[in-house]
Amino acid sequence: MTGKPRARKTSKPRVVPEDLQQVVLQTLQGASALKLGDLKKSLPVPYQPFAKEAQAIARELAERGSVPYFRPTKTQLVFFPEDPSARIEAVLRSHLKEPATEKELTELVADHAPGFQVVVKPWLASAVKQRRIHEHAALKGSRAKRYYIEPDLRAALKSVLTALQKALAKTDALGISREQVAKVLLDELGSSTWPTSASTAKAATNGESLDRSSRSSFVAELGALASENPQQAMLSVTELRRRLLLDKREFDAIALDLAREGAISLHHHDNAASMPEHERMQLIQDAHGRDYVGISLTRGA
Amino acid sequence: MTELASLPNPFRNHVVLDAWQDTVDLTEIHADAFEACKAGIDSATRGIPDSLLIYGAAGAGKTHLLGRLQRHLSETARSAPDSVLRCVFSFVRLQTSPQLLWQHVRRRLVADLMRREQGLTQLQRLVAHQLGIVGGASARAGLLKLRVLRREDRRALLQHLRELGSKLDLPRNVCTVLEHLVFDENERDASAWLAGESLPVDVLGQLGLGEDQDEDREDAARIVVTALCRLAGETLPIVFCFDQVESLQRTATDEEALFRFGRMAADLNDADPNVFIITCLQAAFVDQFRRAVRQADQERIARRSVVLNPLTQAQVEKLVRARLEASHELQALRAQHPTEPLYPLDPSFIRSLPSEPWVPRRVLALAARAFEERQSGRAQPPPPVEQFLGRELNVRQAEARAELHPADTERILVRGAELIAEIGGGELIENDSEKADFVIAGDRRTAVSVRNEVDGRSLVARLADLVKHTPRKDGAKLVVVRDARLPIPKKAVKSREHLSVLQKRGVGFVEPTVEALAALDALAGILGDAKSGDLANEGSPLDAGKVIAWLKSLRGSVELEPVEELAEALFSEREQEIDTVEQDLVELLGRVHVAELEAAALELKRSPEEVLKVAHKATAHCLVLEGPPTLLLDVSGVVSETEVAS
Repeated sequence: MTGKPRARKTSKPRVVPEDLQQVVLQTLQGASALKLGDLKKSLPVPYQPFAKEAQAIARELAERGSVPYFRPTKTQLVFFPEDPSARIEAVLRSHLKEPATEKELTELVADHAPGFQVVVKPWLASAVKQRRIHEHAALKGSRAKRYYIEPDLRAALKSVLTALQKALAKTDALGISREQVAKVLLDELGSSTWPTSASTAKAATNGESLDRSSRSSFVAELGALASENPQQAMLSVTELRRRLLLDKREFDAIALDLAREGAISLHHHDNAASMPEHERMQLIQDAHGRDYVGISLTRGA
Repeated sequence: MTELASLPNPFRNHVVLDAWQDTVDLTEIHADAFEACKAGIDSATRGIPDSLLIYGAAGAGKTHLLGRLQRHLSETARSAPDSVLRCVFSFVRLQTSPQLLWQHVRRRLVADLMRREQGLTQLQRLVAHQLGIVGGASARAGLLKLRVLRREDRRALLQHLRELGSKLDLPRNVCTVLEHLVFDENERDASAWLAGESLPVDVLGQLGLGEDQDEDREDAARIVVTALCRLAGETLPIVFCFDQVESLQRTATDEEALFRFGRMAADLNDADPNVFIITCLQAAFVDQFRRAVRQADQERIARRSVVLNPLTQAQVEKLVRARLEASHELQALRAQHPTEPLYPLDPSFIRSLPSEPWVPRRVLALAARAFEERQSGRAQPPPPVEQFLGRELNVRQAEARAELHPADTERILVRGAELIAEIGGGELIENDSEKADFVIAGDRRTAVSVRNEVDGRSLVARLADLVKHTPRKDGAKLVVVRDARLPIPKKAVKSREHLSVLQKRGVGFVEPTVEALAALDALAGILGDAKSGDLANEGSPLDAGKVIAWLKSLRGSVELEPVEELAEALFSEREQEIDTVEQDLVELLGRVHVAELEAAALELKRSPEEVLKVAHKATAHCLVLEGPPTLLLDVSGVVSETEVAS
């Protein structure tokens, strides 16, 4: 039996568009948490036939560090428009008000940075090791560990505090004032006065703990300034600097870090060059030499 | 040449200077600030006074936001089933002198109240609104009632207006002018009076108004503005949007100007509970504003505040796309490139932008340059600062020349006093204890008093006051300035007598040319924009220091010549005589515009030879066409065009 001659299958030549890399890059940067497998759907229709090539480009961009990504499994890749670790940290710094479980942290991130919640679990493991977040005791009746930006000081000092309570019963009986006790304790700690942000900065020997302490003071003072001026959406950098007494470089670095993390917004001065030097020094200067005069908490911060 | 070459650049015109200006709007940008504005209007509607301070960097979109609010209010009113006014909106760009704040607000408020929509002015619509409310009917019914009553029952409408005036304790003159304006009668003169212009006695008589004899024009302006606030606030919220507060400052450290603004805005806030005040301020002024404005005033004019944050990358892209999509000329071309949302810009345009913070003006300026690059195939560097400023001066001068009115002379001179002092090498002193408009202390001290009253009786009173204060205690030379287009009429005998006395006491008399006023207005506008961050060369803000440096470089140039001549006349040691024959001739030509020499001589009771001599001398006012018969033409205010023609 002879039939019609079967048409020979020929594959059309595939001409990959020249701008595919640009399109892939834009797609990855424009999407929030995009899985590699979902890249095809997110490409503009004319580019979808080139999904395989696009995936290869995406992998290459990730390896080159051109786009932030996270690898949940050996084969999977999830792309983000910005560094997921930094984003999660910024969300927690702005919105986490008390110790929370991993589940609660994931929900918080999902609320404020949709898509990024997939990274919370792996981020948590490394962040605890790096002391970017601290474990706190589980609540009574629960076994779920809790986490918070600040370490659990009371837990760390539990035995000291128990001993202190016992000691205070004796000192009270002897008529020794609490101020006298405090003075002795401060002497023991190597400090003659209550710590201020500046003295804390000087006293700290470890650079990392110095940063953390100054940063906490900065955030606390900014919060205080904002609550004293509830009607002011923008606060004065000069005023905040006056209240903190931090070294200029340290103050500026903390402010710029917080701005990068999205916890605050900085507002630039268009013509700081015309200011007298002593006034300009009060502003915050970034690496590009741009000066910032105003500071505001971002929404929900 | 590409097909793009002939298309208009959709990114040009990136400086929004007026809330009434139509622009491409992307509502997602600064949406929270816009909501804050709307909340303020809601609050004022309920009779709870509110105020909002909007902070933002230069070019962040403060004025653009006010424009969005203005359009929102117009569109809400237009699209509502009853099509009635929901709110009175007034936009006040504070390009004035702190001494003239209330007069400036008065002029701006009246200009906005006189804007027409669907055949009715904002003022008429708010009266209609009240007609409806008072009659226990809807606002729509009020609108219909106004239209009907205006035609058919004048008496009933007048009765209503009078009752309203009495209830709101409106000054008599204000009530009278409102009657004219509601009936569309004598609109030009009535609105001019309401805006604070001086009018001739016969016009005041026609309007049924008393003489304008208020000693303090600022106080008179305050009374009218607060009366209008009460009128509007009776049933509607009234929103005042103050922009370019910074341009009030004479110098970078001038806190007095901000203090005065705070006082004025706080008074306005107190005028009626339905007033909502929005103040736009550059972020850079945060400390100065708080230092300068009294705490009590801040509590009234900055009850809430919002910040215009820099744009995110996604917003930058949307902004650029919105401009491209709004361009009809680009539609066909863009349709051929469906996969390039930024076409004709390079797809990498957004990523190629300099580092943050991105403000809309800067982004649009860069987009404009990128567009031009695509048009011409090469990058166009921004023009040098001098070239940019020179071009600005030419454009603004031409605009000013076309619009200048004698009523603007006082405002231009007082606002331009800083520049006159700069050119004359002196120091400007305001708040003169001897009531001059300003004093410039240089090699010698000159006190300038602008006497531009058109109403002869008011002029008499003010000149008499000058006579009383001359010679001055501080030894300064007094110079009286009057617009050249306002001759002192022959019948103003008393005014001429006072001028003669002043002249004998060594007082100078200067009539600035229209060219000088136009140049001064343009220069002061450029400087004011620079102070408030609204002067940008390709998106880069130019500060006041750069403008002053450029001004110094212009000394002795053609561009600055008219202002230098004015400064020279003000500081001149020479006796500046007031030629009464010239004044008479100017007055005559102002009336008849063209006169035969013989007839003019007869009218002025002078010999033709004497009149011809004066006519040849008075080149700012008179053009002589040799005859026979010899004709005299009125050219007041058109001197430059005449020179060009000749």
